[in-house]
Amino acid sequence: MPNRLWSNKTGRKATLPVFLLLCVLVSVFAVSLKHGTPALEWKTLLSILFTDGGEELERTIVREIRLPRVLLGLLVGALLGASGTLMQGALNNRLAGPELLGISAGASFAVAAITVLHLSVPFQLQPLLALAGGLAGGAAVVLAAKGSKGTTGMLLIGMSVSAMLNGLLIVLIAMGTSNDVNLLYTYLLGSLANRSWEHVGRILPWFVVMLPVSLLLARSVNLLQLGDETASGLGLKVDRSRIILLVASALLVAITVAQCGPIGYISLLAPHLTRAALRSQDARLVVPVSALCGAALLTAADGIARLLLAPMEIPVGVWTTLIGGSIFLLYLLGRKGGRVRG
Amino acid sequence: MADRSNGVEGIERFAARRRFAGIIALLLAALAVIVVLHIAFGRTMLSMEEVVKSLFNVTDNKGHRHIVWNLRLPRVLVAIAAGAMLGLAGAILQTVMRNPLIEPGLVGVSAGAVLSVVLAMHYWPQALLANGGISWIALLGGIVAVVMIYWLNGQRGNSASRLALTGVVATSILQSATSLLLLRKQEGLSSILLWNFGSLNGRVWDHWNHLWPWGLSLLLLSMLLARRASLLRLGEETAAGLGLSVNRTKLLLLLVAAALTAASVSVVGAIGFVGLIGPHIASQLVGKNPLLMFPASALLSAVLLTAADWAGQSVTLTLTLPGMQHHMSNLPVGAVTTLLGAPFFLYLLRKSLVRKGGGSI
Repeated sequence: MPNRLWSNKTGRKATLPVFLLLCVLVSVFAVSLKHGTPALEWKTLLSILFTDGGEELERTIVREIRLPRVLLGLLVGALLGASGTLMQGALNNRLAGPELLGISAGASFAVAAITVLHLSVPFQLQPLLALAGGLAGGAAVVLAAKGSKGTTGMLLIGMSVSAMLNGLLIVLIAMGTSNDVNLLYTYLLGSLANRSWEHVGRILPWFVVMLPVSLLLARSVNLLQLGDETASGLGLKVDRSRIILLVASALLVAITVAQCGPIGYISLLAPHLTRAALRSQDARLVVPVSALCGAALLTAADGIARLLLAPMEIPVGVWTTLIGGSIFLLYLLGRKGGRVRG
Repeated sequence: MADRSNGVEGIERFAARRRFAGIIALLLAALAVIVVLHIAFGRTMLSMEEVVKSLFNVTDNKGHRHIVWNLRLPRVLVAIAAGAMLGLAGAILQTVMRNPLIEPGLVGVSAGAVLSVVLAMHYWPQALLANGGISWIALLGGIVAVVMIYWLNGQRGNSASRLALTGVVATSILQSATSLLLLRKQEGLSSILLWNFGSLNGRVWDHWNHLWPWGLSLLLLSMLLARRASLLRLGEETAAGLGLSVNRTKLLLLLVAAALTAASVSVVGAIGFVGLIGPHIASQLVGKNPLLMFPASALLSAVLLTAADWAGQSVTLTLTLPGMQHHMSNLPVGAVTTLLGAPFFLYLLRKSLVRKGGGSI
């Protein structure tokens, strides 16, 4: 058992980063609600939000378009951040992430199949089908990686499974009608555009259930970090809890994929940033803070995607891959250096 | 090598040559069959006889001649050229980097070339691109990408799977940069697919005229370099001891590989995994000596790409998804090669990981 003194200290260390993240989140919220076409005055924005002021057009824009979009970004980012922590814990692999292990690709394949084949599936159940796809992709990767211990090996296997799924996806797209195809592209790049309260409503119940569940799972992540043998010595059923963690994180990802498409690298980077900021490995802290961090990252990235090149809008997934991928690459190369020299 | 060969080795080499000739003949025959099949199948089915007749210009049916000469033949030729170039590039890269997991699409050459082509199409005058300039631009992008990745990775020791991983991540970054550009210019989303996956749809004689000089000259150049490449295989120190300037040879070979990839990418987009499968099977068939392996893998990859394109076309013609029986479109060949190539890559990867006991990073 970690003693109380230690956890108090980490608790205090967490205050500053959490405070900063909250500041970032609030300012991103304010900026993305204010800016765009039309840009609003702060006074108008406040009166729209808290009283019934402002013109009707402005009210509609803020309440029906900008607010749900930011909220959706928040929820999706939080789910992705939490999922990344769980997955890295389950595989004991700091380079793991749903986009690299075939989970995102599997989930988006399932959703694409629903769209192109016009399957009549109620919206509430789409996350489950996405989950099935994601789990199939993830399971294929994990099974294929069995027996090979290297981290890079697993990622490469994940990449080739993702490539296969993408190939299948292209087959689907090529056979679809052009109308669906355009829709599918914007979806496959990962986007928060044109989302309404409906989408927030669809994701909210899953969010409310799954975030506490992932907090509960933090304890087994902590134990798994000690190594398999120590963990089983401390009374953890290693294999079972590993599978539970993987399924949970796949579910978290599948929920977001069903609504927004695969948004890459948030769930990979959020835990890293969080661990660096907290200077702590304690998953009970890392899971919630990295959820917060993911939310801040995604809403900020979406704000940039919307405002930087306005009026043209770039799907947020393109940005996150561009920036997050570069950071990941640097990290990958830097890490190896440490290993070789150390 | 020639100094060391005694009688037994001479006989073995003679046998290898005969085997090589046999395999090349077999591949050529396969290529001929697939070309005829490829030309025959399509929305208008032609019989073998009609194909051969139209090819040799002895038919009276103008419609058939138009279909064969203006629509299907250029496409097949482009497929052959692109396949051969990608395969050769893959063989060169695998020899230089001494890494079985490498192919042009995995070390960022294709993605870099695509990015630079798309950049140039948006920001440079059309006149520059019209007469062949596009290949040079693609070449520039491909070289920058491969040198950067090789250098980044080479900074800290070399490892097969790490190079591949670096390449994969870099490729995804470059691809998203391409998507960004295409989206910004409202290019229509389907062009993203075309560039990032590669397609042979709608290729005409212009494309072929553009492609073959590059292919031919680079093929000759790489055959000239093949002997030096075979010295490289003995290990860098031995090669240097035998009087080879190792770094210059490596650089030269990398440039040739980048040029081969870039030229084919500027015509057909980034077709993946052909440069992985072709060289691998070829080295199983004829051994790893570059003198034999380079031409064999070029030929084999040409067969593969043409066959993949044919398969893609026939699948879309025979299988239709429910609800879209009236919708006709072609499967991009890049999707077919990815579907075939990714499992193959997985197999190679698993083999190399399990044999080494993993943990190579």
